[in-house]
Amino acid sequence: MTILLSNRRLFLVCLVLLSVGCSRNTQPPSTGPQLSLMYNTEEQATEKTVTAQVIQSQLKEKGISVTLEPVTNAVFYDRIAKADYQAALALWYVDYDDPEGFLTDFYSKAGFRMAKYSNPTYDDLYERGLFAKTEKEKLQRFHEATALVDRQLPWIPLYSNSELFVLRKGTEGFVSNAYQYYDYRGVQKSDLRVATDVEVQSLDPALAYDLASKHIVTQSYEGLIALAPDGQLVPMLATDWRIVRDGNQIDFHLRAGVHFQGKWNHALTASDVKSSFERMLRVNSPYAYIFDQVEGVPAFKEKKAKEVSGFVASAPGVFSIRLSRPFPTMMEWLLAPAAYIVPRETSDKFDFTKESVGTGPFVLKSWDGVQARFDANGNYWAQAQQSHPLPRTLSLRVMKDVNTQFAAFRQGELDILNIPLALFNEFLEADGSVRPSSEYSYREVKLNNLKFITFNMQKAPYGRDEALRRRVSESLNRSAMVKQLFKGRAREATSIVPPEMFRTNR
Amino acid sequence: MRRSSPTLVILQRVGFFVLTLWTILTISFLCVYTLPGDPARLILGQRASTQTVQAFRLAARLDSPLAIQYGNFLVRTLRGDFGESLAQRRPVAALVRERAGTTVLLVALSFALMAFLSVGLPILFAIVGSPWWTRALDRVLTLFAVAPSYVLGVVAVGLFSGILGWVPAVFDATRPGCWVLPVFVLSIYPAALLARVFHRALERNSHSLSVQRARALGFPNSDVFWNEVLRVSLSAPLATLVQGIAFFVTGTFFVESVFGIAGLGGLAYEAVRNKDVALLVPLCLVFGTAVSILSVGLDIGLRLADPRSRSQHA
Amino acid sequence: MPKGASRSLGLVWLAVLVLACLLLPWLPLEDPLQLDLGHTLQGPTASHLTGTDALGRDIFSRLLWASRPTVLIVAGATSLDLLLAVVFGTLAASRGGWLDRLVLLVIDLFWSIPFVVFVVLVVAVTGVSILTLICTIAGINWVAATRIIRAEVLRLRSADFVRRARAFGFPKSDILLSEVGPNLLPLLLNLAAYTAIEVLTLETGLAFLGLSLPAPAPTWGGLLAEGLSYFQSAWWLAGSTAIVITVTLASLHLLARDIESSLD
Repeated sequence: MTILLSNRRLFLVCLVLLSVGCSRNTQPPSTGPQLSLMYNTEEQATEKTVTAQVIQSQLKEKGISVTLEPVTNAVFYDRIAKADYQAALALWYVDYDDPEGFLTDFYSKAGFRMAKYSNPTYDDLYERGLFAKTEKEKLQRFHEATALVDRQLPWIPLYSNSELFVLRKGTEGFVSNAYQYYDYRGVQKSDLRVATDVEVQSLDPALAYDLASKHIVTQSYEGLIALAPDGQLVPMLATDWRIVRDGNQIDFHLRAGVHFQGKWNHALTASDVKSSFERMLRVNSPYAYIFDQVEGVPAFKEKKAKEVSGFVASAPGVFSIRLSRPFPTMMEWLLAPAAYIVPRETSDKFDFTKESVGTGPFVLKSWDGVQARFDANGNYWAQAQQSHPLPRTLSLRVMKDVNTQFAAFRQGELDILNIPLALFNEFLEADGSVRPSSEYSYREVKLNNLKFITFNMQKAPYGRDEALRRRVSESLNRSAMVKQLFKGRAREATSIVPPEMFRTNR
Repeated sequence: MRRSSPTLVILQRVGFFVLTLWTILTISFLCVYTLPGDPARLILGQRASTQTVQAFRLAARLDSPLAIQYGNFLVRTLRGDFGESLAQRRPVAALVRERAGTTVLLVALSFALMAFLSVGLPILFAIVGSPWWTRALDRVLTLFAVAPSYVLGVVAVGLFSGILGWVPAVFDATRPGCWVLPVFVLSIYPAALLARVFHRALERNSHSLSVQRARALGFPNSDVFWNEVLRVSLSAPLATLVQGIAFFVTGTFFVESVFGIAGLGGLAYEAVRNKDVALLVPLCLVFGTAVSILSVGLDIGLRLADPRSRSQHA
Repeated sequence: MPKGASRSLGLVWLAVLVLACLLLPWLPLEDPLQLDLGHTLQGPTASHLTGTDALGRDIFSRLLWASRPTVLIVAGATSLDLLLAVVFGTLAASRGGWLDRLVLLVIDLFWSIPFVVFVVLVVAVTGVSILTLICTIAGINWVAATRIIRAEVLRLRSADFVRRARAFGFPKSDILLSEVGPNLLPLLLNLAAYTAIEVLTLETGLAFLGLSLPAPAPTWGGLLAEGLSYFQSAWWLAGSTAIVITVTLASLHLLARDIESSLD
């Protein structure tokens, strides 16, 4: 016993020495600028951690010492709301093909702003773009606004990444676009199993704005229009649309022969569209802002009117939106899942987790919090246009853990894998090329998103010193990030709006 | 010690239990509401307009003073109305009901496996009369138990699902094969802990005075074992088990996360992420109540097993 | 395995660990912060004993550097934990009455609250540092040891030698220090080993949730959490860390067991 005690004493002595030793700072104090970079550990943890450390290392070489501050989700948004940070690493993505989506943060009248940037010139350009009479003028103003922000650098753009899918034999009919809408209608496999790596928040289309909820909702519900892979707006539940009355009204012709799933399986009419939109406003959708320019919406939101006068169901097959002023962006905004159509009988409190009542290709059979099971919609309106039948069943599962995703794919329990960054070296060679396989093929889809560093423009020194921000931006080696970190499956970003969004073929 | 009537003792216990529940509720409420973050903004996302956020906060009464929100919550809970999740806009009771089954089954199965490994097997070995097996079991369990549960979980998934393919990677509550790994991973650490404690207690009590006396008096070995050694030895693992309950709660969190099980752990994790106060406080209450009930149950079991331990708890 | 050998093995490993932490700046190691994006996720080689991680850093070096905060946190939290347990345990057991009931009530409540909420709250308010982690982990874990110490003090209180001392008229505090105290010591040592195990496990759990020291200078738990994402493709990241953690936990186990058997 005494031997043990004396050992313990020795141990304690070592402990004291250890504390003394460890408290010695072995790193010399730095003389260059200091930057503290905050990031959210609950959103794409692996990618953010790795990118943050690469940024830290790159900036250290150029004399800027970076302290990393990983925080939880709630703390992240809280500190940004309170402007209690210096710089943050974040991801921005949009649900529709419009540069406006990237420009809202800098508009001083927007709701939640990260950079807290304030510039009347910018506000003016943004407003003139938003309310431009033509698409061309809109893009012009937005282009100028983008150039202004790119020069002043409240955000430092880093890169836009791609999604890399591994597709098992038979699933090559899978289609997805730059805004992460996943379309399984063309898959020629009768039982399809896919996954998502984030939690699902809601199965109500009016409330689905996060990726996983969108993923589920877009299988059962559809909107008036959709986005083709090449970025064009294509007819969906509306066969065509016309902008009339000097841009103050949009008339939609609704498709005939479309039926809702579930208990209210009547045909689609204009009154269903009207009630869907009004419902979306009533349940406080995060997308409620998309109808702010529609006549009668402010009164409806304040409960002064029972319906929105600007949503007109003049005939069963014709639906019109009356705007209080010309608003070309309206068409883009209708792509949002919140504008998907549900039957007019759907109450505000309808439980979307028990059944689906949309017009889409898949009918929700069950949802247990982790897995959604769908059956093919036997009555699907677009079936005739398809050369092959829909997959008989679809199963979409939340798989947050990378190892589970990989194990499931390896074992054949998953048909399409959206390769997470941590598994890149499993499927890609060092030079970025894919490892060929006889069992599966690959699909790369470039996303129009943005990974960036945002500064807190209200805090010195970075918020006040444009030269300092530019120094940070120019000290970063985006090429190395893209080539080495992402093995080439990303594009360097030099502007806060991905250039593809300013293309002219709209 | 004063002799109090049995009804008074029961009343005291019940009162204590109610007090515990109320304290859990209050502390959970305080902890959750003082967490940083605005649930409205977290749930609605960055693009939602200020108007939408204000409307959300109004509907959820997030701006009323804390005392009033607490009072509301207390009253509603007493009525049995647990409100609606802010993020999912569905009744909390429904959410909990959906997910509770899986978690309860997971915990129950793990409990059973743990009891079997730590207490059942050694008893079997003792009856058969081979103490060496107990020692070997002890060593094997410790070997597994040194890895934290989620490490074990990830390794298990990687090895048995990914590489070997013996166990399905995707958890399906209806397939028994899927339960093997999560239950094993969750139960192994407490099993090792309890096995060690039980083993030591058995060894110690096998040579205690009363046992020696009983043997000297000529009582058969099996009788001695059951009456003297076993009953007394059981109090040790039971006492340690109270510690194990809290572990089960946190262990369930990790195991459900690693194996992708749709249970209460995952629900709580999402609630924390969104600061979904309406969901989080009832969940804390559910966890707390479950732990309390189990604790009381174990306490009763402890008293039944070993009268001497009465002094150890109020 | 002979008793002496297992005890020595445990102690040897722990001693090596502490020594390595002390001598770290002078050891010939690769820079743990040096990125090498051209050679990521490479297996063990001569220059990189346990391979490189996702950013090309030497894992062996990172592992050793991560030992410092880990050992500090474990030692600190264990000490604080036992200190709290001794204070509250003996207070509750020796005074009895309402104080005892209060301590038991607090212990019961501590069991019942899911610790994640508690930890997220504390970490969000105080931020993550070695000190806050020590306090947080000790704050979660002290109840287990308190209960055991309380039970032991109660047992000792009714032991013969204590009764005799009381009968002779020695004051309570004297008895506590001179009679109960030394008898508590072996239990404390045993508890220390078990608490260290729990603390290390808790710390790795917190790191898994992202609530421990951040990259690029994490604890073992942080390294483990980092490496687990790459487990199926590059097992040596998580593997080497897991081995080190396991060996340390096993050493503590051996130490605990050894103390236990000398107690019996």
